[in-house]
Amino acid sequence: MSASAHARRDDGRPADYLSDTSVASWLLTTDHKRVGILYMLSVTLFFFVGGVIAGLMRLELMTPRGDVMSTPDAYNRMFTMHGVIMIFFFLVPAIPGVLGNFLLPLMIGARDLAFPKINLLSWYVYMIGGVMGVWILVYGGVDTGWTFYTPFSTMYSNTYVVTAAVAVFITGFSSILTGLNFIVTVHTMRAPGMTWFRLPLFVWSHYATALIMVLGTPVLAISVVLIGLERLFQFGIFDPKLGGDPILFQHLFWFYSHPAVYIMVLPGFAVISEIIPCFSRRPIFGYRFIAFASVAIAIFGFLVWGHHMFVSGQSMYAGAVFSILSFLVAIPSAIKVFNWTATLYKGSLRFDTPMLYAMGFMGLFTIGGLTGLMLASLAIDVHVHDTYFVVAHFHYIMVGGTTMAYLGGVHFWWPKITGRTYSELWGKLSALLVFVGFNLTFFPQFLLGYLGMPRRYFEYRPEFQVLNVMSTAGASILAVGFVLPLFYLLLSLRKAPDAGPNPWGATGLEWQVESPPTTHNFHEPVLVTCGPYMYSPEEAEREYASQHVHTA
Amino acid sequence: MSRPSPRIRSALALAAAFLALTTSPASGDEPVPLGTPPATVSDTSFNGTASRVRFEQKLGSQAPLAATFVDEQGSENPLAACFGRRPVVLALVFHRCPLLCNQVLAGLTRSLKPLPLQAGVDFDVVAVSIDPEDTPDSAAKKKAGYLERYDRPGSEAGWKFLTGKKEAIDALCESVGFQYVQNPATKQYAHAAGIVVLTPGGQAAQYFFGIDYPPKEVDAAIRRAAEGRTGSKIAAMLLLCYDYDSATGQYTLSIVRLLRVFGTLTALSLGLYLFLMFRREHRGRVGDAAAAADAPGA
Repeated sequence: MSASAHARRDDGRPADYLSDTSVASWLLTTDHKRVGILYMLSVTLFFFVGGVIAGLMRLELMTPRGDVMSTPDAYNRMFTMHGVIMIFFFLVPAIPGVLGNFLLPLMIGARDLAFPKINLLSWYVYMIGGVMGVWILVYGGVDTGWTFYTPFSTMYSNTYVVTAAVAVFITGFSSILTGLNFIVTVHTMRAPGMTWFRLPLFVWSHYATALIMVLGTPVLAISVVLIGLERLFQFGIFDPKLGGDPILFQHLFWFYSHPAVYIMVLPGFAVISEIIPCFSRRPIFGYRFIAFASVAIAIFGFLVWGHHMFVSGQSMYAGAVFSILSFLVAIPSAIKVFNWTATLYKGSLRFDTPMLYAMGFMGLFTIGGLTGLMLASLAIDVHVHDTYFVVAHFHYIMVGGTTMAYLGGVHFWWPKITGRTYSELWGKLSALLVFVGFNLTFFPQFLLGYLGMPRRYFEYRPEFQVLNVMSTAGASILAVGFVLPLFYLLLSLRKAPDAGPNPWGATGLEWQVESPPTTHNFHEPVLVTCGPYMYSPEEAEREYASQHVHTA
Repeated sequence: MSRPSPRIRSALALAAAFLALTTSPASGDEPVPLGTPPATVSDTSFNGTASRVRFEQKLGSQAPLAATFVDEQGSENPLAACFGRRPVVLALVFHRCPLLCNQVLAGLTRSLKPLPLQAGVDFDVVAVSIDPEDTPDSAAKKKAGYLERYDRPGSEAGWKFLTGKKEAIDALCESVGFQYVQNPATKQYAHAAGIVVLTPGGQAAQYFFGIDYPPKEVDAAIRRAAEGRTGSKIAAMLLLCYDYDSATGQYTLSIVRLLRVFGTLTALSLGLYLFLMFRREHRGRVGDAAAAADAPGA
């Protein structure tokens, strides 16, 4: 399958996409791979900024009294900035921005995305929002929580709410641009023979993600604009004193922000759907089910926002309907988990680093999903609403799910992106540390929440201390697990490219070209003659022999 | 902020004030719509009654010209006698009304007074009683009072205070979208406040709600009605963007409705794009059927 790639090297290897190293060539690039790298650098930066804040919070929560931060307000700003940075500047753009940008065109046999310049623009827009976010952090922060609930955010908060709203508004446009680009690319740029059902599931998931981005993000944009209007010009939109409706904000906010959870986790599914078959050496089980489950999640995801508002004075009937719909959205997610599990069954499993991350993802996402069902039940939600139970639940989805998948994806495609292999030993160690550290950090929080410890307080009752100390200890292990890859991945760059086109023996068009790929991705027009995940050996031999037919 | 019905309900706050003065909380068995905030007993009765009191804009709707009414001098004429030559400013009131109707008529007089247009020359004012028990005598007294306020000699013929039978009243109210409720205990009426400008042909041309009618707008409405124009469709569309806000007593931009419209437009445009793309692909594939028919590798 890689024979053609080797053959071309003899008549002079074309420059790979990394060979031009000038700053201008990076800042003005329209190459989807380079934009992916730009995103990788920036999301990594934001991830560590958000992570440091999380570390400070865990430090504060080691003891029942407030002693690390000077005031409760400082703590409020910390958790707000942690949420804003992690969600808007890391989780939402991480996988689509980095892996999606890099891989989507390669996977469908295209030269680039449909709108390369818009792709670069999306990074700049994202960076403008991000720099504003950091500016706010340095100059005092925001204390509304990442949810910006009114009327606190519009009437009472004395912090940089409008600046934060503008930052989020701007970053939202980056999401919309990426989403539009992906949709149009998948529709118009697929190589001949790349039918919908020959698309890798990575592409299906990103397509579904893009739909949510384009439909959902404008709602977020308009919500923060309305906050700005009310705060600056006293328009009565959310404040009852001016004739507004505070619940309206919650509706608008969650109408975006619940689908945003799927913006964050669907790309995680995308990565896992690629890793699992490769390291099980089996075709993925239930391809079409997984593909349509992504689309189903994108649709159902828009119908469940009210489950965030069970105790916000929403009508009981609305609550019941939202509860039922939230149960329904678990079905497509469960379909995916079951299909991945079925793919593992009787596979020739190889526990390389990406696979360890993927296995971690499956376990942690399942726990996150099941506790999500508990929260979707009206009666339980009333008990645990706004407690650490909720905090633990969404960290299982977002860290245990998305971040694990992102790291798994980075480890899986690192040889493709950089042409280098990394130390497997350190890789496995990091995956293990992340898994153990994560569970130690967040499982105690389920217990804390169930026992009634409210979220967003910087002091707590002494009887909660043991579990909080466990959580902080876990956070330190987790931090080591997150920092490790930074070192060994960067160290791998000192080597000469040694990965070869296809170190994992994976299927998929991206593995048919050199590592790192050349600027133009493919040297000749691609003709696709078979579906993805041809991991049964005989079939792979037969089908992939004819994949790279030169038809020009 | 938002109201579930797209119709404009006018001056309900005033109607509420009126009810509080004139009704006892007797009709507490009215069904309360879902989602209504917890209410006290008097709130409940208000909600029940208020839900039936409304002033719905029926632009272009034809007034029943054949219905007969009695004018303040006691002579019985079809409604057509008031129409045909000039536009008509119609106020629906009842003469025993202790508060709101007087406010409506006073407000009307106040806005007509500074106008260059003259009642009886450029338009007519017709105040119809919704109470079948009102008599030409009481109507004449009312007329005298408001003529004095209007204070323009020679405009007597331009003001008509009509009374009539229930059928005629109902036909007229129905045609202009005026719904009221009578409290059986006090015999008082709960109703909305507002006036309607009609064309000389008897078609509703423009509505003004509340008790303050901006003179300039009334002037413009009368001139437009004189030309037989029944409101503008654009204005009617524009009204869809506004809701009555009972907290401030004003019409305000309906954020929720605007959001719905733009949200729907976004979804539709994305849907349209996807539809077009899938259709294009489907057509493109017709020549490539063999490749397309292959099942996926899974």
